[in-house]
Amino acid sequence: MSWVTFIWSLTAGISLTLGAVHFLVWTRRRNEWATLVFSIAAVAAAGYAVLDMVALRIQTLSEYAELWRWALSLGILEGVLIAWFVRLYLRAGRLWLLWLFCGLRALMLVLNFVPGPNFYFREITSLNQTPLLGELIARPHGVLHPWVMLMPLSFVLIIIFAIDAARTAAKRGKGARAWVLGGLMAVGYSLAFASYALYAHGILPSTFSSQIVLLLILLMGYELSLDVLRAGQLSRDLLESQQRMRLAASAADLSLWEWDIIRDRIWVTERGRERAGVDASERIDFARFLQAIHPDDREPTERAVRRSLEGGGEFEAEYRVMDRDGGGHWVIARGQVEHDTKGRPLRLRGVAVDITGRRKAEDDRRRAELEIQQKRNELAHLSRVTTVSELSGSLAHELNQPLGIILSNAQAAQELLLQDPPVVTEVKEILTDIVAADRRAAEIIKRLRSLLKRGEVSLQPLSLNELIEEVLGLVNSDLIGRGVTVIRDLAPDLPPIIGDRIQLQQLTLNLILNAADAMAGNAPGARRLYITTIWRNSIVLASVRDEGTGLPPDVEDLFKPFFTTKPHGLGLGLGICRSIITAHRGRLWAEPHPEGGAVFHFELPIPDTPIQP
Amino acid sequence: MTTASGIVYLLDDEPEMVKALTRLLRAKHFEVRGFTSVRAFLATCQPQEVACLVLDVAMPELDGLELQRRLTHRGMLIPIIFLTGHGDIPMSVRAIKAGATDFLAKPVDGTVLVRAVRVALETARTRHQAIVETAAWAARLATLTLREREVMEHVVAGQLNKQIAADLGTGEPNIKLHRHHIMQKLAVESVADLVRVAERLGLNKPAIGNPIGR
Repeated sequence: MSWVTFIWSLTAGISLTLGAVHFLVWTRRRNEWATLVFSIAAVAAAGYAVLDMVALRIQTLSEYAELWRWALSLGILEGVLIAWFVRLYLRAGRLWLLWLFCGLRALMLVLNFVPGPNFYFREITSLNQTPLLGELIARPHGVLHPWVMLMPLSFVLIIIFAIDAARTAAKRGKGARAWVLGGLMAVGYSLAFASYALYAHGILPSTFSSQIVLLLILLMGYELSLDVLRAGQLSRDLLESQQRMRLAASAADLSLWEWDIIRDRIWVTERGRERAGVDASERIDFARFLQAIHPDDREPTERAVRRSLEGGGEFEAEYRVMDRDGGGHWVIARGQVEHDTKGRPLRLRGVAVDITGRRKAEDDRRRAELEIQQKRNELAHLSRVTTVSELSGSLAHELNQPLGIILSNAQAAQELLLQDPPVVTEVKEILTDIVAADRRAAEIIKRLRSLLKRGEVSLQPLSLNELIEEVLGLVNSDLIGRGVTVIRDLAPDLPPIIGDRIQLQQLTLNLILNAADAMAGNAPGARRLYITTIWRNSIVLASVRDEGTGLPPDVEDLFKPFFTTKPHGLGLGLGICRSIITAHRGRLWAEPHPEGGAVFHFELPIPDTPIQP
Repeated sequence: MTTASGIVYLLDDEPEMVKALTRLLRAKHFEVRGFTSVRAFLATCQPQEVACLVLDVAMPELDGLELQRRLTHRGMLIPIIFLTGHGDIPMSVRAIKAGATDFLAKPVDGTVLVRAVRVALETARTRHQAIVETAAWAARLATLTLREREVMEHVVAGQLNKQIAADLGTGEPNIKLHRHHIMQKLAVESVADLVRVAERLGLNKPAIGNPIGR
């Protein structure tokens, strides 16, 4: 076999192989159009090499002319394919330049088929034999067409196009690889340009265009193979990172999940399936997912999903996943919706964590807190009942007063109506007074009942001044009976606070009664009780001051349970007061007054947001 | 029914209560004067009136018992009906001892109050009567001469004319004459009446201590 046959066959073989391989690759990756274009270009290059090889051996003019027409057609097409490959592969290059090039080539293809042997020759006069690698090969001579220069012009165009495309792609971040492809492409065509010129001047025996095309095909093939290799590496990396992710997820007891919304298919890691008792083979859709969660949690979870699809795309829900045996796990799931380019939701992807342990701990803590709260309420209630029963005499008086008014008025009215003639005018006034007194009695009973009630704590906006007045109204006769004079100095513009009315009444009542007790030994006229309220910045401060016996050396003892200075005291009052004020995020403390006696202060925070009345 | 003689004073710190009780007592034809302050009451009431006081024990200005003490101190023997919400026994005992006519628990029934007021006014009237009578006796006593006063003291002490004559160093007929004048001036008919008058005016005591036959 001759060298020429070997080299040209090899050229064709390599091209064909590369073309076939990449065609296969393309069938797997239908969206990689560059690969398809490359495989066509490679097949075309193989065809070109075969025709070229045959032509070199041809002896007759007519045969040569006909063969070269087809070889040239493939050559012209090859250029177009290579240009499109550059464009598709680099995703760069000026389109108008590309179309200009294609137009030029199309023109050349048309001119290839005008009467005459082919694109180059108007007439071939003779076929000379030129030596190459120890063989004689055909070299035509004849009259050239005037448009022959279109061929080098097209080379210049594609060189400019390739360099421009490489530059743009490099700028877009493809970097050196863009320059390798575009640059080498330009070099290849420069080489073609040069060999063409040398051949035309009779310096080279052949244009070696088959080999130059092979060079370009190899270059392109190399680039594509690199991509395939890189894709392989990427998929290996992906697999590895997925594995790592799963490992991390299972270590953290996380499960990963993804919902393909369009196909309604849910993928979830092993842990998630286990939790819901779903076999690895079972297909999960949204309905199956809902079925796996507790009936009570379905509606809220569905709502959370809908919200995330319609709204910002963030998904978060807490629900119980029920396994086959009916056991439940509390799960918190968080995810993010992915949208397509038109903003339609494509998939929802996220993680789920088992929070059963945390939920249980929270429940236990809440239950314990509730229990403490309940105990505190009970104790507070007990203390209120004790206080009220101690006050019962005074309270009876407080109640007897309006009852007395009602009775006397009613009897007066009876008397007036018995007279002849009955005195009706005054009876009307009497009835008005009776109604007023009755209301007053009802008000007292209401207050008493609320104090005696074993109610739940209910927080509401309160005026501390009003509250103090209510308590003073209740103990009014008790204080008169003990000869205590109350001096009020209540800030008129006191902002409201948030609290439980009954508990704060209890607190105030306790402080007032304590103050009165402390002054029991004083001379009449020296039993003044001062109540003041002020506010500053973010707190309301109330003070109850007495002129009594003062405080024990260690003031804090007062607030300890069972500490008492009274002969019949339980020693619970101030302890309860302290717990009430602490529950209201306030403070309660005592200090001696410089002029004698003690002052008890308590402060409560003013809520940040203004309270709507 | 006609208006009962005597004034009923009401003193309670609650105007509503004063109003109601005033209505009730006025409907029963009493003359009522209501007060909500101790000072106003003290400025109005007069010692020589036939009156009683319905008083709330618990007054913020002044304790009811304290007011009672002050009135007594001033020589005003006005009968007091206490009204109390507490109705505690020690307090009632103290009040009654100090001269309270009655001690009623609130809410007080109209009938009970009216009865109590009647009794109190009756007491006041009796006291008033007594005071008026005493004043009349005292005026008559003032018309006696010094000698006649001396003789009267002896008579009241239960001495016979003879003894008196001996004591005063004069004759029995003289004593008889003095006795006659005394009976006339004091408008009494028997020695027994004379003794009662003397008792009323507090005259009998010094004579008792006199040694017989001095």
